[in-house]
Amino acid sequence: MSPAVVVLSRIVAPYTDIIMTRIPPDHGAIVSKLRELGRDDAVVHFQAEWDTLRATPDGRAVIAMCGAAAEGGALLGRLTMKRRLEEHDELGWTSLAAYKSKTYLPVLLATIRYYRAQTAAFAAAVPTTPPPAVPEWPSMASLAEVAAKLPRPGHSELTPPPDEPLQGWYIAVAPAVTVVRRIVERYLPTPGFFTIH
Amino acid sequence: MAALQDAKLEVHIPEFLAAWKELGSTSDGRAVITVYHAAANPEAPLNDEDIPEMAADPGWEDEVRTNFKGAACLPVLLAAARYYNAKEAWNKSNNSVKHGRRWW
Repeated sequence: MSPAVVVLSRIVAPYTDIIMTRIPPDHGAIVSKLRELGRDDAVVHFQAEWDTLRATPDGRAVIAMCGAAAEGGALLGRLTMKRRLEEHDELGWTSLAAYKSKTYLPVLLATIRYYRAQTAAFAAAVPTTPPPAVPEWPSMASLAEVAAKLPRPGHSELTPPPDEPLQGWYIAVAPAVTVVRRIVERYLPTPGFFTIH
Repeated sequence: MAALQDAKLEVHIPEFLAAWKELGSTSDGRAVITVYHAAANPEAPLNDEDIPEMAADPGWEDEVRTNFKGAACLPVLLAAARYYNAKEAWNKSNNSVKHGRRWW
């Protein structure tokens, strides 16, 4: 269902902050939220895009999948969903084999087709920004290279297995990780394993 | 931000973004971000209890200067540590823990 929800998220994103609000992927819920925010102008634009979506078979598949996703409690603008979807797309949807006997497979395939077309259109529309001529800080590639060559102390809790970063790596990154940890701790009681995206 | 969403704490996203923007407003702060991104692959263990202890070790700079002598990443590591140390010093000089004014 995530391709359909991401498609609709992209449609709604210009009109309200879908990352900070909790809006189900449902036409009525979206219109209600926009009206609640005093964005009657956005309702008109959204309705036009919704009508465009509804005008094609693949677009109607997206709408059908969004309806099911809304019933399941999905929300627009969820970053974890978007990241997982991108990973699936890169892997070529190998997990689809599990759905081959399902009657809704054609609907799912249609939403993936729509998602991919929309992704390509978005990519073509976004101007590419050239990287700065001189990066402010040098590459961090040497961090792992040097850490891997450091002598290993005797086995302890701080000595990870061979396929994981070494103690020297942990020590090197400790100040930066602590700074980020303190920031994250203000908002997440248990930051756990956390990656900045 | 994804973690905040997953925890249903979207309300804090603006504050988090402001804190992140502040971090990225100085060169040393951007070094912190650079090191953190490098550390985040594999994911950096924010909940590892030993990490803050390692950061606070008075011998940290000597050890890292020795271990990473000549490495391209050394200036970035030192800049990130400078940021960390500056914030630690601010905390101590303001007795901020006592007054609930820790910068973090």
